Amino acid sequence: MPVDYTPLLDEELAARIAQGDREALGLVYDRYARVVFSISLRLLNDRTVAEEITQEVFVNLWLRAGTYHAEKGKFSTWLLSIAHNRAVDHLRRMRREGKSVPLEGPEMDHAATDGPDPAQESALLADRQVVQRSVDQLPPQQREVLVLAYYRGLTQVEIANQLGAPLGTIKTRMRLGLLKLRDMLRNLNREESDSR
Amino acid sequence: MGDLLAPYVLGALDTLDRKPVEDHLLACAPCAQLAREYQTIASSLAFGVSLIDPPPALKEQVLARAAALPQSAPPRTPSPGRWQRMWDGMNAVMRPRAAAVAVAGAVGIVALAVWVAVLQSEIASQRAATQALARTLEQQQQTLAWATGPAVLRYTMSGTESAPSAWATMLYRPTMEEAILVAGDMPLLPAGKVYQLWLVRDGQRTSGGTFTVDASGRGQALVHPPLPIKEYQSMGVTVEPTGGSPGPTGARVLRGSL
Repeated sequence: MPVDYTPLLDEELAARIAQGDREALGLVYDRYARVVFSISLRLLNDRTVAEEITQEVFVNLWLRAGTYHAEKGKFSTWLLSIAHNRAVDHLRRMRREGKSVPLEGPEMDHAATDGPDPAQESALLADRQVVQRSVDQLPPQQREVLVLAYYRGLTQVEIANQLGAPLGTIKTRMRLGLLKLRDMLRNLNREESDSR
Repeated sequence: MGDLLAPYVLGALDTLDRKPVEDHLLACAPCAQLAREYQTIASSLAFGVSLIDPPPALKEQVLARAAALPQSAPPRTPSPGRWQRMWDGMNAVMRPRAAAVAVAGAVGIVALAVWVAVLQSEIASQRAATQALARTLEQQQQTLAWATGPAVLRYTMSGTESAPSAWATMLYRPTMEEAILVAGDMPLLPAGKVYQLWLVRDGQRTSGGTFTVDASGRGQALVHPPLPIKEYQSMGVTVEPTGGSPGPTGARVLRGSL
């Protein structure tokens, strides 16, 4: 009797992947490949490299799922931090090697033939709108450093140089920005749940 | 070390600075706890990007690579000796009956497998249609979210003499340094061609990305300008080979000011 994995939590799927279950890997891929691919593409602006990073992230998950410990945090946080780090590392390697910005930009009209189910799609869209609204509402100086770090892949030193601000100020803005973002996400998520 | 945790979770430390933080987090429980809290917030930023589909074939590549890299966990299969022991325990009367039951069962299983395959094919077809509809709806919702979102700047482009009815609107969100370009009534593209957006600054043209259009001449593209949009004076769209060109080579179909 085949197991229906759809209702399983990410953390349960991760445990199954650690046991060598490829079906569980496929389902986690369906849930997170778009986000992993999109954040890689946002940072690198190169489809081919974003595909490579997405593939690396999920193959790495296959090999290292056993190192994930649910008591230390959500699976999505763990997976997305790995994906972001890989993309940022790649971006900095490209910059060090003096590679130019790729020509190819992202397209939204790429038709997928497989992927998350429509309910998941709606949930992702809701998540995105909540995050974007929260980022929009951050104080400009805090928003600026979060965007430059997370979406542009700049180091704290590069950000300080670009903005002409002391490094300590940049660190403080990052910390305050994260805390403010947490509060806004909580409030907006509460509003979303109340309105449903 | 505490003031490095926010830059650490945002990926804003270079490799040399990152290692001492990671070593510290292994030894300091309070900092590790704080880093986990920060990491949860930072990772939520990943959900803020506009979502783009990876190529459908990528999933198969991932699963194929996983199959080639087996893990050490033992497969969970029933003990192979059990059925042999049952057979050995049957007498001469029971064995032919058991064999007949086994054959009938096997035929039934084959028929069931065929039926399941047909059903799966129908489900896959329905699922693809549902997903296509969901994707269209999602694109429309995304455009609406952009149009109604806060702090959005709107720019328009009109068709040139080679495509007089074509139009495009670009919605730019300065807070995310990201824009969405929606184009309509565009000429259909021949095979091997795409539309490419150009941002013009002091006469220099920078690619803003490529896009295609559907059968109705409508297309959308996400744009991440290398510089804030206010740094550019104008923009245009030309027809270029798939993958884009270093500079405009084909006919210009749209133009507009910034």
